[in-house]
Amino acid sequence: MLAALSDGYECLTAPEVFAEAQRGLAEHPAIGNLFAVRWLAILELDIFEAVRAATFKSELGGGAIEHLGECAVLALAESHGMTAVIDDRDGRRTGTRHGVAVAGSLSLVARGVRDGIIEMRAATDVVEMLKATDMYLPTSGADFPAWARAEGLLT
Amino acid sequence: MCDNPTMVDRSVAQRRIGERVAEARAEASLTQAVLAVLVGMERTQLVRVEAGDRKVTVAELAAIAAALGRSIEWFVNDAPAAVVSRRRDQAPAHDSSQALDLALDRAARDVRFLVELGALVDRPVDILPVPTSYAEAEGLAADVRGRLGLGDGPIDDLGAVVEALGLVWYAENLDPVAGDGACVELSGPNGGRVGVAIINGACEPGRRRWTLVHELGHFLMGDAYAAEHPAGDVEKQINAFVAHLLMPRAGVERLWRAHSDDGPRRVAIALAARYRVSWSAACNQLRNLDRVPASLRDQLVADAPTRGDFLAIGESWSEDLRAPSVPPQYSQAVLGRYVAGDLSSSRAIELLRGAIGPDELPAVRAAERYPRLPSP
Repeated sequence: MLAALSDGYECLTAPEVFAEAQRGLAEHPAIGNLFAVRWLAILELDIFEAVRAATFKSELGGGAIEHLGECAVLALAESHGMTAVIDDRDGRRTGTRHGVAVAGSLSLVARGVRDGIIEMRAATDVVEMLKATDMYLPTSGADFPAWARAEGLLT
Repeated sequence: MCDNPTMVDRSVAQRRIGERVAEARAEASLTQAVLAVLVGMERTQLVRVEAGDRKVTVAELAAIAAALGRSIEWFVNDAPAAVVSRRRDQAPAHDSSQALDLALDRAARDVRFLVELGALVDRPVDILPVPTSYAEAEGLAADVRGRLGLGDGPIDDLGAVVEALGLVWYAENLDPVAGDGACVELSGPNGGRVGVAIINGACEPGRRRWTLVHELGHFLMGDAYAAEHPAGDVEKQINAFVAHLLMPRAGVERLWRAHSDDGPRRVAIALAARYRVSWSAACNQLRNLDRVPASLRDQLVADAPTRGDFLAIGESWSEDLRAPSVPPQYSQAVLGRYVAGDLSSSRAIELLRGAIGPDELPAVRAAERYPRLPSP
């Protein structure tokens, strides 16, 4: 389903995101599905992107591993002129402050409904599935239709 | 460091970061083998990173920063351009140390970040002349007190007063031998000045207050500009300014009139307690104001009262500038930005130096519109 939603976009991610996913694997085995996706290219950050990621990291604070995935994605998005899809609100805010286009996972789901790629019913299932991995999302699957309308994401 | 990456050769950037890793590791007195173990790298990988032969990842850099007790930013971005700096390398007369320098570097970066965020604003702050005599130092202290309407009583909320004069301070728990404090002045985007000071919270309370006003003196006088003043003279004049700002003549004289029948020691106890200064500072001020001869001052200093001596005659005081603490407007600015969603909880707590914990952050954060994704 995520592959269908991503169709038409060039999708990149960073090794740091996979490292984060790896850490969450024991608790949420469903995260393992991420390792099998073929539509997501993995790109190592070059030294300048690593410097930018470190700058974002310093602004976001936290311990040695907190926010590393978001920071790496922001750095890639900035350098490639792409949109960073991040579910951490603080990470999105940091990106916005630095002029990086940002979105959340639910932006992608809502776009799929908006463009007729998936039915709303399937969208609520996707949201439930994502929610089951303890991903931070602002709504449940059941409340997704009302929430997405209120956020103006469906028109 | 890398504002314009396309103009900088990758190997140069890599080498600069490697040099910083090597520098921080050496200052932490760690071998490459030990640091490699701490951060989960092969020693040969770390050797190559330090030599600039291998690209460091952001995850490795975050681990290295945590292991060496530095901010990750230290490795990748230059420190803010300081207008005036009194770190140990520039002013050997001013007691300082590496721990103090590091704390000051971090504080300066944090203040720069908050200024860029618009949470703190640089303002025009007049540069006061460095006094050339004790009388001038006393006059300067009286001017500052007058400007703030402080009268001649004790300054109870010293931290807020100093902040209002343009000096952002951080009271931090450092090694007791790290030195009492240090400060740096940054220029802001509005052409104003922002002072940043570190106060070593390991010092006793009266000494912390003295140090804070001492750093304020350096900031207000911008004394690094005054090349004609030998460093030692500047320190003496600033200390005279501190003494008179904390213990103005009229206030001391009033205590003298009220308690001198019970002897100078009784006056010194009242002075130390009510004006919240160290015992030696109180005794020295009685000497400065010619209330006691030097020989008696020395006797008094050697015969410091116990806490019980204070309490037995009804004198007590509350501590301020405890570590960790930061000034009130600064706290308000940081928490305001947290509530507005500009700062993460961990960053807000770091900026407040742990003065409040995660459970004490404001409960409500501003709502935020969820971002819309354009169609491909």
